[in-house]
Amino acid sequence: MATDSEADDSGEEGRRRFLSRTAAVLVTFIGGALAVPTIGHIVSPTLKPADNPLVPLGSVDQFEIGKPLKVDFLYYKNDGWVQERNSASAWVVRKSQSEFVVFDPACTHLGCPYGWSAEQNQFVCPCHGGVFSIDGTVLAGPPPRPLDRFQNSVQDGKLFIRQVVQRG
Amino acid sequence: MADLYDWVNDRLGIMPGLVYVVRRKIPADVNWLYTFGSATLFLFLVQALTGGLLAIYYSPSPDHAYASIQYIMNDVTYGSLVRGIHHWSASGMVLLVVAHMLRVFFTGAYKYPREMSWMVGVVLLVLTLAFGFTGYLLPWDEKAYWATVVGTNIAGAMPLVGDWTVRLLRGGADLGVLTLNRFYAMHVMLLPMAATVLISVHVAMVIRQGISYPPRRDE
Ligand code: HEM
Ligand code: FES
Repeated sequence: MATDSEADDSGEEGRRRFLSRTAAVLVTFIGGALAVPTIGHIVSPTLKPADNPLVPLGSVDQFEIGKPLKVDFLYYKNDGWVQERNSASAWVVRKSQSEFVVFDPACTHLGCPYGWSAEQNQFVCPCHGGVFSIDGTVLAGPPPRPLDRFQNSVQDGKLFIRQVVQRG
Repeated sequence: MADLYDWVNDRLGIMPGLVYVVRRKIPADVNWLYTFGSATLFLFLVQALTGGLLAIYYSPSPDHAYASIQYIMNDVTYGSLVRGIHHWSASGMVLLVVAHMLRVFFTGAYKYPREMSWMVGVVLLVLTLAFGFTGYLLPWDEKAYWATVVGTNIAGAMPLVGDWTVRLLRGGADLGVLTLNRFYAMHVMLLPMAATVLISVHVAMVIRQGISYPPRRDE
């Protein structure tokens, strides 16, 4: 049947061909078996979602409707195998009994900490005169976009935020 | 393929040499025992690859070593597989290097003109064991710590220079930051460089001299 010498695996030539093909198959197999974990290992950190811990800001009772309050908090964040302890703060606005908006305390212009002016009923940035309404929209000055926010949720009478800031 | 061959060869002229290395004649009656050297070489290359991958995440300080290895085991994609390969190939390499040496010994292959292959081989054996000894400390867990306390104490049994050698190995009187750091530097920098040079020399001699003929009854 197999008169074609290519397919003839008997004799010295055939043996050599068989061995080099077997070697090629084995090398491909072993190479692949090493390449897959190699690539996975290297790209591993890019496959993981960024750490976005849930941070408790305390009881909802401390917040009055329509009166923004700045709160300081601690949060823990994983940096590889190291757990970092960081402090940060947020402006909490209670819109209704159950609805909250939580702003990042850095001005969206160049990052100054802005404050709440009770007389004007507005957020005012001391650096270049940026002014924001209570819902974060820009009313005056150079800030290019509304205030950045934290996602928030209420559980068992406590206010929680997600640590990663959402662009305003 | 042929084009690539020509392209490289037109520039470097090394292709016939490489083909010679792969195609060179070896004694017809060699057997599987003669593959131990190549098998050792393969595991050395596997160790170089997996070791480099582990170094991407490992941190050689007492504060971080243990946690960084937990991170490799639990958080890195294929991390436990890569560490497992490095772990088992390390033991495999010690077994194979000894098997290779026994083959060379019992076939009398260390004799003229291959004495230098044997001598370089002896150094490679020591380097292989040194890889194992320095690598064992890196996880910085109880087992690693105490194995190294005991292992370095053994050197203290030497007359006259014993105490000094223990301090040399540890980088001080006790096991600590300095020990872990110097073991790490040895394990990932100095030993690999030395082994790479010596293995190259060793294999170059094998290619230059050819493999020895297996001993025959009528000789
Ligand atoms: C990292 C460790 C080593 C590597 C990668 C290695 C590699 C090799 C390879 C690929 C060969 C070709 C023949 C064969 O595979 O059997 C060889 C031959 C040889 N090796 Fe090694 N070797 C190592 C350690 C040693 C040790 C520990 C000794 C002895 C103390 C030794 C002594 C020799 C000698 C004398 C030959 C020539 C054998 C002959 O021509 O038949 N090698 N080595
Ligand atoms: S930083 Fe707030 S206005 Fe410029």
